Amino acid sequence: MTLTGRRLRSLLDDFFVTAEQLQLPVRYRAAACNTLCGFLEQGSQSTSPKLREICLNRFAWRRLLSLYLERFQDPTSKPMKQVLSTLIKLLDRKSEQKADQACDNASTLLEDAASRSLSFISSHEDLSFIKPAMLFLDTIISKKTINLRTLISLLPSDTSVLSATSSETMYYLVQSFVASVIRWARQIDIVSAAGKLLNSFFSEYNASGGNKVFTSLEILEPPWFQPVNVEISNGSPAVVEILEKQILPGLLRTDPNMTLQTLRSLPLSQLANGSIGSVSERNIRFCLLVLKILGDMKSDLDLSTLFSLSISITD
Amino acid sequence: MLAGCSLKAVKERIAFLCLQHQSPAIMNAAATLLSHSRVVSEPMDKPALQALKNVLPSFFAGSDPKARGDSLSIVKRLCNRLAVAIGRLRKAVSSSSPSSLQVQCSAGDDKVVQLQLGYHLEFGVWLQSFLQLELQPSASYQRHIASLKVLSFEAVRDFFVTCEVFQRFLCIERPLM
Repeated sequence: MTLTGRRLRSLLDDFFVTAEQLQLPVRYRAAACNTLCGFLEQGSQSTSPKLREICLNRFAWRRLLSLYLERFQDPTSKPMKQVLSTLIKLLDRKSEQKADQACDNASTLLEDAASRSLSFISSHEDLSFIKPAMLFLDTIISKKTINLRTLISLLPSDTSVLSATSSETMYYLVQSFVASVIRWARQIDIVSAAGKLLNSFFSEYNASGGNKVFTSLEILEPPWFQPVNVEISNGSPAVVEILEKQILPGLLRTDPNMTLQTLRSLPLSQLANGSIGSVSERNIRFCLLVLKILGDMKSDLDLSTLFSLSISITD
Repeated sequence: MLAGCSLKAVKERIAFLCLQHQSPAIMNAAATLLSHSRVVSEPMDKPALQALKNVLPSFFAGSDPKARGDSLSIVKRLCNRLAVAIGRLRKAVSSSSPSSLQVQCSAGDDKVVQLQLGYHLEFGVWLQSFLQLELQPSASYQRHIASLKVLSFEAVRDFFVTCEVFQRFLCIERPLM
């Protein structure tokens, strides 16, 4: 029996309605999401053009994204991780389609979703969307679904930044983004997502030559340096511990050049030469924290070489 | 001009200098840096232990309860580390064949291991005397409460047992009736 397009759409709609139900028990939610995701993934690869079109339709994708964002706060988020995986696969398949329009639609969907996630993070509208937004961004960055320059161009900005040169703009946009993410990292259930996002962001940032931007601008410190420094000086001991254990190690480990830039940004030589009075309390605390983390790192980085390049002591 | 300094050397140098800072938060951060190690059984250097000895009285007498609380946590972690280090050093001294510990300790030979063990135990004796002194009637409330809190930590009591000073601590001379 051949199912008509209308019947297929109705079937998909039923799967969505079931998965979206508010009162669904956990087990049934998992089963409903598995069914929905299975239908979409298999349907998107079907030999039937009708079924493919229904499954790769942008309305279906947006509806799936809304399901992911709204149901993430359920007692178990495992089904939503399956939904996230399906979202990315559908985008990939849409991009692979030969029609130019399909590719354009895929990148438009992706950019809309990324822009939405970024605005959740930078605003304080709804706490429940922050963690799924961060995980979504982490996934699309680490799977290279989105180009990092495109993502940076979507970062929310204020008009004062737009007047700067494009390299400076990029630097300050990234800095502002990091500040927003770190502010959310104060929430204990969001901190691991924040750490993963920053880690994958800066891995990709360095891999695509981002760290050369601030070198060419003669800015010594990485974009995350000031936001982390401010948070350490203003934050409670619990926040400092979170930064120490969950955020900073990843940031320091991403790239030897970034680690070297960080070491050079710290007033290590001044401190080691005894000029403690000339260094602010905030910078001293940051120095001590970074030294502690570097001492803890089991790393492939040649720390001793990096260190000797960044400091000289006069006796 | 010295160049090519190791991370460990610079860490210690900066920590020693920051222990003299007037801010309790900086002093605590410096003490944490000195007392912390990725490998908990790694013995400490004598200068580091001496620097901590010098600064503990000011930690205990501090008026800020939050900073004092942070300092006491540092003492707890320090005692935990020293107890583990002493246990491993003793094994290294008593074992007939060189163990991997000696490589970890970066000691190199028995004499150095014995010296390390010596000053670790000496710190335990010193800490025990120091805490007794802090409990004397003329000491301030801050010193009393800090000392009592430290003694309530299991890690500290275990450290004293490891150093075999706990029995001495419990011997209190009773006045003749």
